[in-house]
Amino acid sequence: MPENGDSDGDSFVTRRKMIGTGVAGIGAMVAGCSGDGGDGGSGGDGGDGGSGGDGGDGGDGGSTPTVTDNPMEALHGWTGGDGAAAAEQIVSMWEERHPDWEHQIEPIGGDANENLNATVARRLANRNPPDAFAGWPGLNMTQYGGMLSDLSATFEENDWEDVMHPKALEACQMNDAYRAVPLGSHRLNNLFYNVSVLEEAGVNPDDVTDWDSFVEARQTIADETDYTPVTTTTVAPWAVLQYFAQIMLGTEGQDAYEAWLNGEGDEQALVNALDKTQDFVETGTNEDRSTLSFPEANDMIINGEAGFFTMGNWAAGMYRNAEGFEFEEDWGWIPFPGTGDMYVWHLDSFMFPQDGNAPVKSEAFAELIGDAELQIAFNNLKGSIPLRTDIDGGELHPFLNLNVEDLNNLEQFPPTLAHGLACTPEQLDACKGAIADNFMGPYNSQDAASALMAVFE
Amino acid sequence: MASSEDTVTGSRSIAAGETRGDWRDRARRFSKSDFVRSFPYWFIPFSIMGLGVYGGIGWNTLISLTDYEGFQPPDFTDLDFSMYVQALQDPSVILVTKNTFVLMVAFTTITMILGLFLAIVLDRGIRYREKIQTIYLLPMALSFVVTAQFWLWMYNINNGLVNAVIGLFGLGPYNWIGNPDLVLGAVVFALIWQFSGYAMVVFLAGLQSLPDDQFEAARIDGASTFKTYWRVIIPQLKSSSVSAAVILVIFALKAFTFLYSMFGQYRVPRATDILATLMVREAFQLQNWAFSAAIATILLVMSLAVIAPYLYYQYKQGSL
Repeated sequence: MPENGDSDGDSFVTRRKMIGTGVAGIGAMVAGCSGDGGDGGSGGDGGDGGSGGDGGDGGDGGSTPTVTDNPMEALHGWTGGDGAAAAEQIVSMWEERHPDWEHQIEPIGGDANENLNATVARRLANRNPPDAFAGWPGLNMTQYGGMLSDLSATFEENDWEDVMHPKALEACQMNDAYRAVPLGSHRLNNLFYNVSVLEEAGVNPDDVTDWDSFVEARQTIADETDYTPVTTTTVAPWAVLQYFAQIMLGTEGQDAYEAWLNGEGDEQALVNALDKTQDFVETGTNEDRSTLSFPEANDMIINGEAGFFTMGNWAAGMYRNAEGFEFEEDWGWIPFPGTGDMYVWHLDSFMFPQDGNAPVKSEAFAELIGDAELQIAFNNLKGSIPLRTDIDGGELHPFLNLNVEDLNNLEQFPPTLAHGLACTPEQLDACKGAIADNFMGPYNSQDAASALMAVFE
Repeated sequence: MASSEDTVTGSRSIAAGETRGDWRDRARRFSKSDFVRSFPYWFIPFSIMGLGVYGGIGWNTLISLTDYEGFQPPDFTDLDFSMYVQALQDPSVILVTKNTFVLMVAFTTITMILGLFLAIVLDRGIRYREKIQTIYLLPMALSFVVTAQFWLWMYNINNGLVNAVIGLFGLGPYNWIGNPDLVLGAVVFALIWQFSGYAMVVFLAGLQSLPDDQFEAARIDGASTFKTYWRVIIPQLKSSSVSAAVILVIFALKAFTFLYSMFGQYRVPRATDILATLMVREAFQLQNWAFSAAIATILLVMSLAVIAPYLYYQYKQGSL
């Protein structure tokens, strides 16, 4: 074809000219893109605006907002097994109470809210926030400072100050207002055990009350049986950080732990706790810990291969789902050694960005989350503990009820570190970094302690 | 030159009507030109690609010059390189840059050598050629999410296949993932396993496009098989190696997906921490948008720096 016809004269375009035109085009596009605030990255999600007729969309504005046609969009991170079933309760109760109000209550999967937080961060930065999202309140919430709706009126209308746990009320406040609705609490200081393994080894779980008796019990299982005394996971630093926090609380006490979080810690206390953590991770545990996720590690308890396992009480959800693995017959619970008088405190909540698309509906969603009926249904499935103090214990699973009693009666509530109540996201990242750099093999307690000290100084 | 000047002076002296006719004629010819007629076909994909790729790079670079963090909109009035200065002084950035470089170079080089070797073996016309070819190519079709999880099982110290196999030779067991000295190698090995089949297919296509008489001529001249490949055949595979190298470097940068799937966290073991994982952590966990944009630019420059000398050499050789 080239030698044929009109490729002569001005219609002939060389490859070089094409490239030149192309470069100019790209330049124009780059300029155009940077000019309009470049929201190219937000493509794919959102896009639910444009249905017009939106009243005041600022929760703080004071004017009464009107109901919009926009669906109520709430994001959460509960995708696996019991979490998904629990989230389904929220959906069905919303549909039951507000059958005409469209909703997008959607999960964003991933460990420890990681993808959920990333999605929320991206949407907030792109000025395209969901109407509500699940997250940890406390210091973790400070990253959203200035972005969240004031929920104080909702709290007042529903008298939540009288019926919610005071610790939850405290954690949900920021800048002199309620900014989150508490949904459920997981307890962190648990030591789960397999009943038959302990029986075979002749270990009485009630004797495991402090670090020394735990070391002894561990040794007994190793000596008397072929089972793994303790099953652990070290595939990610959060688990090691969590072990360290429990051991620190169990051996050095809450005051030492909180002094460290307040920047007045004693480095030697950290070194001692880290030494014990290394011992905990390395002595009498599964060798394949660095390739096991926490559910895989927990399977060793269910399969009767290991004696003890420590994890937040979401791990108990796996026991309930396992066939023929019953509470007190097959598995049991004791507080993590040395933390019998503590409830290590984790909190799930929903937060509500200020410029959501459906302000009236999101208020209704907030009311639903704080509702006693929903908290019972959700938490029974999720394996967490409702934060309303007016719930009859008979409506909860016996294992949860045991924790509810502790929640209502204990006086020491150290906040969890690995799950964001006790620290800002920057501090949490720095803590995980300190562990990942110094304490995931080879274990260097001294370096890890100075790095952890530096985080809160 | 002379003739065109003649035309211009000539046309000036002619009446205005004829100039318009000339203009119309030109417009008509222009509208029929290849450029205009092909316009709808290349402009749309080109602009989508341009906006997505080069627009993205431009926007990222612009963000990296601001101090953008948190949820407030960025301020474009004060642009400087402070984020790059901060990044280059940050020990963790330097560490992960080193890891990224090691991963990229080791992975790309070994995969290409292995792929070339496999391609030559297959090209020798061994038995069951097609089946072996398919088997080697299959891992490429698997998602990182799948391969990461099963390599995690393969590397299990108690019952993983890797330790079982080296156990036959009286070695190990090694804690491939838990040991910081081994984990990067373990990850690189898994990536090589996944992509050597791809390199093999690219080289095989190159080998098969070479005429048989070259082998015959080399044999008649008394060259050994090794010499034939080393002196005659491999030097002719330049364009294959360019395309393989470019794609492999891109996959090395995409190792983020593999690492994230393997460890379930943006925070991966320190020895495997690469620029991509650090960038995601800084952006989406800490909202240090400008800082992570600077890391992204460093990553881009680094991959260009690795591939550019090679591309330039190939360009000089005329294989590009």
